[in-house]
Formats: sequence, structure tokens, C-alpha cells
Amino acid sequence: MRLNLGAPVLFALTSPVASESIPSAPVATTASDTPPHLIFVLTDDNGWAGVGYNNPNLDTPTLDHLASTGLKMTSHYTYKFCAPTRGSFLTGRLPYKLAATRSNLIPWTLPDGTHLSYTMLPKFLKAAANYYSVHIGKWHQVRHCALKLSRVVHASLTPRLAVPSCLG
Amino acid sequence: MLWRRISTQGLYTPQYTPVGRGFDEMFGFLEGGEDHNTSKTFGNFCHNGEADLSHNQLGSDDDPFPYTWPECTGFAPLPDTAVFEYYHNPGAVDIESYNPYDGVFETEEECAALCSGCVVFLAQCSRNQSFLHATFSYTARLPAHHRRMLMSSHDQDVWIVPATHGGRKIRVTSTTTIAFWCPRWEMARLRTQPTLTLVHATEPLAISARQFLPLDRTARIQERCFVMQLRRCGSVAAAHDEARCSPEAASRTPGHLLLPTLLQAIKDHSLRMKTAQQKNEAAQPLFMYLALHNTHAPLEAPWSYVAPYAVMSCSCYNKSAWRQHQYTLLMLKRRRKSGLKTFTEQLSAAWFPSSTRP
Repeated sequence: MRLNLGAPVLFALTSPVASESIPSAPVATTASDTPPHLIFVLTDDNGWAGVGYNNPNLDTPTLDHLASTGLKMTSHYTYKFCAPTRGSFLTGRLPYKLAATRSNLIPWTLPDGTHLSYTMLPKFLKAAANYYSVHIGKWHQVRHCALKLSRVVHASLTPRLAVPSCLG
Repeated sequence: MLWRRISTQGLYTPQYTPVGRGFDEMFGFLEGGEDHNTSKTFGNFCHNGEADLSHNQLGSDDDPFPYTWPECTGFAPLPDTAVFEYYHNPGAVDIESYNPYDGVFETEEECAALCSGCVVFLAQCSRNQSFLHATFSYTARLPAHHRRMLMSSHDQDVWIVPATHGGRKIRVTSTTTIAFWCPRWEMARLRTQPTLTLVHATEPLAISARQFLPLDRTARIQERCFVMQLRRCGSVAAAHDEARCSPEAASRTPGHLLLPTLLQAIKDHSLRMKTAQQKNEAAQPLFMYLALHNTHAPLEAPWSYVAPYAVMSCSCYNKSAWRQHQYTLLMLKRRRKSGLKTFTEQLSAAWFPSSTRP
């Protein structure tokens, strides 16, 4: 017998989430009351012509099927680099608000990362509906410990007094 | 111990990790890119004044990153990046003998011996092909094993197999697909010695997607993906056998390495929900953030995944088109079971009901 586990909602590519405050948490009591499962697949730097339904030279039947049976947001845009795109999705902020916007342009040893004052989606979902969140794959929202090294290495770029301890 | 793990990933504090950000579970990598075979992240080079991470020094668990971390005194490669050394100081490194997978995979000689039965092409590029320069520029700082694949189906563009050089004659037609690895030192050579020689051969030769296509000087500059495949499959014959040696079966690409964990996470959550239902407790919905990496940095792209897109025109060969046309589909396609297909099938058949809504 198959349990009624609720219908998942499968997203592909990116979609910003606009939330500024953590709402209250209604708690599901039965499976039928369970909010939909959310599965977000980020393909990372996949261009407009990188899918078969936009490019006849490509063979992407799985994505094509998802697109044909789902919703294509053809006027939705993400940032041109990977880290700001994922940061925007996770925080609901526009990419230019995120330090990650620079992380694809500068050496990786420079300090960068999505600021901790920006709450990310899993915490909102946990508070809103007690979601269980799983991340699999690439993260790249980090702040490198090289920030601490910036006291020595990149003092001109990072004020010395602004450098916190490596253990936060 | 945790710090010793994440410090090598460049993490600043645990609060910046996915779990620190609210995820209940995380499996993957924390940096912007990773080679799953060498466990190296991007940026394996060091400029003057930057922290020299090759020292791999750690302080105490309380302060694993001392301020006295050594600095690089000049542009220098970190270990396994001999290509940078080569461009910084040409002649210092025997670049043609350099094998980034040394100690991990077969040696060049072993590979050459294994591939002795493969067809060998002598390939040269035309100076008029803009992709040469674009590729050279774009890969200027990438490690050797990030070599890009140059492709063309234009018979007037690329191909040369003079029998006088030991190659076999082929007849290049408009439908022939030929691809070869074009390392940067080869491109650098071609910039100064551009040559295009078309050979109108008489003996047709079918080129399959798994054909082994090295450059000239092939005894040393072999196609790494095939080496990896040989390692997985044990023999040349097995390496050419799709059923026995598919990337999916071997699970060596980044996307496929993530797939088992992905499916297990779904099953685990199914069990959690089932348990909650049996206890008449509130069931948690699942939020899964699957962040694939293959399209961004297809470091171990199986040849079989790349070859179907080897038909693109050289004029399209730039950074953007390259990603769109030749490297975007490594997990998201194809005819057989690919990662995403397996994933969606798992959702529909094994766990979620058929009402899965995209």
C-alpha cells in the first residue's frame, strides 16, 4: 500500500523568494494537511539555449518533459554568475545585495560570502511549516577564512578593525 | 575534527555552512567547484601576497587559521598545477609528461599501452578559427585537467590525418564528427605555427562516440576521460562497452556521485513521514535544494556525454556557446538513465504519487 505522502512541487532553475520576516508556524497534523514538498533543482550556469526546448541541437528529454508539463517562466532572470544566483534564491535578495555577486570575479582567497544577517530559505520554511530541509550538491555561499588573513594580505581592501575572529 | 575538515574547504565559520543556514542535512561540497577525482577545488594557484594554502597548516581547533599563515612570494602553482609553472617559467616543467592524475590513474605509459589499438589522429588547428584564441584566453588560469574540448564538424575546418605521420586515413564528410583535446600548449604552438592541411583520404572510417582521439604526440597526451574509463572498466574492450562501463554504472561523475545520496534522502524522508503517520504525529514536508554542479564545471565529463555535442561550429566556440552547446547537459540529458531522469523517475515511481507537479 502506498502512503499518501503529499504531492511534491518540483522546480527547476531558479526562483527568488521574497520574505523579510519569519512567519508563524502552522503545524500539519496529518499527511493530507502536509504542505507540498518542495524540490528545487538548480542547474548552475545553464543558459537559455542550454535546454532542448529552446535549442533543437540539444537533447534534454527529461527537462523538456518537465517544461512541457509545467510552467516556464520565460521572463524570469537570474544573475549571470552562479553564487549570486543561488544566494538570491536562498535569501530572496537581489544579487547586487549579496557579497557573492563578487565571488565569481575575484580570487577565491579574498573574503566573500552571503552575510549572516540574511536569513536563508530553510529557516523561513522551518518556521512557516516545519519543513525538513536537505541540501545536496554545491553550496558556494561561504565566507572564506582568508578574510582573517586579510589583516595581512588584503589590508587595503578590508579594514583591519572590521576583521572578526575566525570562529565568529 | 570538524574544523580540520571544513577548513580545507575554505569555510569561515560553521554559521556559513548549509546546516548553519538552516538545512537539516547537507551532502556535497562547500566551495564553488570540485574535482571529485582529485579532491581539488578551483583556484589551485597562488599570486604574490596571497595565503599559500599549499602549506596546509592548521593551528589549534580553537583557532585553526593562525595569522602567520605563509604567503606566496610570487605567482606560483600549488601542487598538481604544473601547467601554471609551465606558463610562468616555460621549460621548468616537462609539461608533456605531466599527468595530473599521476598516482590516481594509470600512468601515461600504461595508458598508451592500453590504447595501442586505438585510432590515432594527427590534428592541427587553423589560425583562422577564432575559438583557438578564445579558448586560450579563457583557460589561462585553469589547471591542466580542465582542458577544453575543441570540436568541429566542418570538414574544411580541422582535420588532418596524414598517413605519413602514422595516422589512418579517413574520409571527412559533412556528417563526420571529430573531436580532440587541444591543450593550451598545443594551442600556443599553433599560434606561432598555424597550419591547416586537409587530407582527402579514400578509406572511410566510422567515428564512434567513444573513439579515442588524442592529439599528435599521442603517446603522452592522452585523453584523460578514457584513462579514467579504463581504470573503471579494466580493459579497452570493457571501456567501449556501454552496458558494462557506462558513467552511470561507474558513478564517477560529480552528478552521479550525488545521486545515491539524493535518492537516499528521499527514502529517508519517506520513512520519517511514515513513522509520523503511524504515530499520528505531524509530518514534516520536505524542502530539497539540489544544486547540481556539472553544467558549471564539468570536470570529469564522460566522453559519451560530450561527444553528441561535438557537431557545433567552430564559430560558436566561445565561452557562452561552449557552455550552452557542449557542456550543459552532463547530467540533465540523455537517452539512457541520466541523473535527473533517475531522480524524477524515483520521485514518481518509488516514493511520490503520480501527481508530482513540476
